[in-house]
Amino acid sequence: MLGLEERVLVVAAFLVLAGLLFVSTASAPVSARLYGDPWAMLRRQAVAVGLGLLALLLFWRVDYHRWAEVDDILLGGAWLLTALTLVPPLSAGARWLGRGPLVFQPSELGKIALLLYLSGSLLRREGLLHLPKHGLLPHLFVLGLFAVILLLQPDFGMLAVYACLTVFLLWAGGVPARHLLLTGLASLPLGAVLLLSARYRLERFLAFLNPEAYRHTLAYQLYQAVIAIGSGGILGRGLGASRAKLFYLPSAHNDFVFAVVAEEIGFLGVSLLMALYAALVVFGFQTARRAPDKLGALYAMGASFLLGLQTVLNLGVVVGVLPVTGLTLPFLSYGGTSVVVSLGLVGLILGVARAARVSPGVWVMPEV
Amino acid sequence: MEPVVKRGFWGFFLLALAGLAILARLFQLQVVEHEKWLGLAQRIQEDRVELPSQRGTIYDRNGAPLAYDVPAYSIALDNYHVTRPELLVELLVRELGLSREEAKSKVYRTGYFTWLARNVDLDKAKRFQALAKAQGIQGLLFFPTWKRAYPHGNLAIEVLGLVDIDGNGISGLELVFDEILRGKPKVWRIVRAADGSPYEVVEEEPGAPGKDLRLTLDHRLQWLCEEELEETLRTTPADRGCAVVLNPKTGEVLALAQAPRWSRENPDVALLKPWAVTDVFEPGSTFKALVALAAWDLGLVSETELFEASSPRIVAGVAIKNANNKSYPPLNLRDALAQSVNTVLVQVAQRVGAPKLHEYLTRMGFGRPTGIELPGEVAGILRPPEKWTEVDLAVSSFGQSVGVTAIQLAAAYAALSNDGLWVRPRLLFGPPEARETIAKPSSCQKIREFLEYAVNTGTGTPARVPGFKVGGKSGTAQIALPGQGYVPGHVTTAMGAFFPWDSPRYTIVVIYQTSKTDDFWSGTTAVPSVGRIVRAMAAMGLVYPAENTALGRSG
Repeated sequence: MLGLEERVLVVAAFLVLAGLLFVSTASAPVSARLYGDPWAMLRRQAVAVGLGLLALLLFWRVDYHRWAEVDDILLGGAWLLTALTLVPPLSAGARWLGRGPLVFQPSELGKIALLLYLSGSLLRREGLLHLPKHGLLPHLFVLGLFAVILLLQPDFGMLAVYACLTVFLLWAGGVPARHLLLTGLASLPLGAVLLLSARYRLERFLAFLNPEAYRHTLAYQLYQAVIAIGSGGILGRGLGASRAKLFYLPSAHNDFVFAVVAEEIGFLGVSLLMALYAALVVFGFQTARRAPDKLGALYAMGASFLLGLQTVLNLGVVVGVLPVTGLTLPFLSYGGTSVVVSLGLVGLILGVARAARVSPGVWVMPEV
Repeated sequence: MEPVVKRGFWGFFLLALAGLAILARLFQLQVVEHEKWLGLAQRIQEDRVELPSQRGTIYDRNGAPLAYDVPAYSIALDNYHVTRPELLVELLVRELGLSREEAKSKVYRTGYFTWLARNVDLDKAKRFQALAKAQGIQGLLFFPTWKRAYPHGNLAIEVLGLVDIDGNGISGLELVFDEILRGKPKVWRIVRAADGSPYEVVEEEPGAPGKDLRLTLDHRLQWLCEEELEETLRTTPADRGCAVVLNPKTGEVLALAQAPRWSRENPDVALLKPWAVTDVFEPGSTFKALVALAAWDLGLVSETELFEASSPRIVAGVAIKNANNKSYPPLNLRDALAQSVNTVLVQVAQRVGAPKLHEYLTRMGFGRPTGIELPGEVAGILRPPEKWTEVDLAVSSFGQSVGVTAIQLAAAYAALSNDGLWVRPRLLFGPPEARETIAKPSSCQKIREFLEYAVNTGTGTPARVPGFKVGGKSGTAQIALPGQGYVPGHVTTAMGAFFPWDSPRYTIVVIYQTSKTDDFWSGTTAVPSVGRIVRAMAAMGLVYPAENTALGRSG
């Protein structure tokens, strides 16, 4: 039986290779149109994967306790970068920052920073978490800081990811459940207000509820995605044979890449793909169980939860059971920051797994 | 287990539930509803283009092509991608002969596809394409297609039939043998990107050219029959005429002609109906030969017996007269046929009796379709004998109270020519299909001998062609219109003939009809037409005289 690190690495390697494969097929038409070269986007993605491997190595090889020492600085830096997307001369489209080939999405980086910070902070306040002043409120405040920017960008989907991650970590970290439930109840009207405040958000929601009626307008993308998925059948049209990517399906190479994948490899193929994602999350959870300490457990759980969460949210949107938001699918979507951060999260799991191997925690249960 | 992990497990549990829900949804879309979405995808993303294959050629019996496909182009426009529409309008008007309004309405409309012109001749289309290219006009689509060509104009067009603009047979043999002639179209599947640009073109079916047809028609004989009919229509009050020439031994139809003719200048679709197989008329005195055949075959008459012919016959209180109420001295059967004497043939029919006569006429092919390969053939009218009255039996002897088609009459005369063997008339080559024996060979020979006498000395003399031993029987009959009975001015004239009479190789039936005058006789229409057709066949070298004709020495 392979060790934990090897298992995580093997699964991640498969996902990265699948990602490169499907970026190459899904982005070819749009790449040819934008850059005059069907492989241009693949090359960019390959560079991002290279950077992602560096991030993976960094989180794997550096003792993860170091991150707890700097997590406030990382968080501050990530927030600042995210905030800069609101400054017109620096931003490159609402969610991106930078110029030329160096455009990235700071809110992706913020996911890792938030995970590190919340985990560290929960430990630092251990024993006091039952007090709202120490448990709920400071962390809610941090979420709020990001939420403001994400709403202004606007990136409702990313906000949902941040919120779910925060709730998950607070709950796992020991913040009383009733605090979280009360917060949840209190935020319901807030959510309704947000939904109604932006016309596009409301319309998207209506289109989500009744896609047939909006299939030529607001639900067009969803409708095309469902056609692509459904036409794939059990075995798929075959690699590279997607029709949806011929500009029928908007964002076929990034947010909606899964529809192209489902069209090309069919139900059997995507079942296998989902099994890979599930395996990555399960191995991450196993890592948390064997983590030498609470910080490692929170890191490993947070990282694997984040990967699983974003996968589920993206797939939910693409198959039409969640309203449309602009979330990438880890490893498979075209997009540099996403793949770098996804590999960074894998690196974080590996870092904890490495520590578990080197110095097993005293409370580790023998594996059954 | 660390409580952190224990609590965190519930988060993963929720993720797993969500994952299963997504998997279930994927199963629904990809397995349960796959067909629906695939169909929808095809409707949105794919086009199927069918390119017709070359249609089979129709040849006459000697291999002369009567109808064949030549390459052409159909030109369409993608209105979304058209450039320089104002120049295109000019070009359409000048090169393809569209009117300005028509051209404008085709060019200035929204859509991906508008036909500009169908089945344009190759050189015309190529010139148009070159000019459009030179003027920077884009968005034109050229589809290779086929166009039917008729090297002999409208020759036999009623038999051949027409094809529509899409290459489907719509009448005649083109309709009946459409499946064989059309072959299989070439099918292209075009996968389009969302902007309409073709992304992938797959040949789904290679297609196959249609098979050729070889007809039994002789295009020279067909031509001269058509000419003869048209000439008679010009010079007599005839409204219409038809002619059938058969090989009596094989049933092969050598000519099946009619007039007036359908043509591009006179595109009346009613003229495309081959009325020799679709229309019924009373055969008149041409029937006398067949009634005489039945009587002779039954041994009810002899060569020497004399029949009383001086006065009208009273049958069930009805006086049946000779033509012009003429009175004759007692006549034998041969002379009665030659002079076409009604009152004699009435006596002959009465001797045969309704059941036997009906039996003979049925064997001769009346009252049922002959089975010729043309659409719309009718059975004619031959009522069951128990419904015949005394009068019906009497008048049937000169072709009243029965309804026949020209092809039925021709087939019956062909059986008479073929020593009693009835063979299905056919337009496609194949082994002869004998159906009935209508009479003993000796009976047929005797009646043919009588009919040769009729042509040489009797009513049939205008059909006489020295050396060719033509035999036949003519007839002139009033036309009964539905609900009105016999109407003055409506007349059918007919001639059933064969030659050489002792061993006939050709059977000819010619029919004319008028609605203008009662002064309309077979002796000036159908009978001389038969003679002229035989002479023309000889002049064309299709036939040679059966016996030497002594012109005598002069001086």
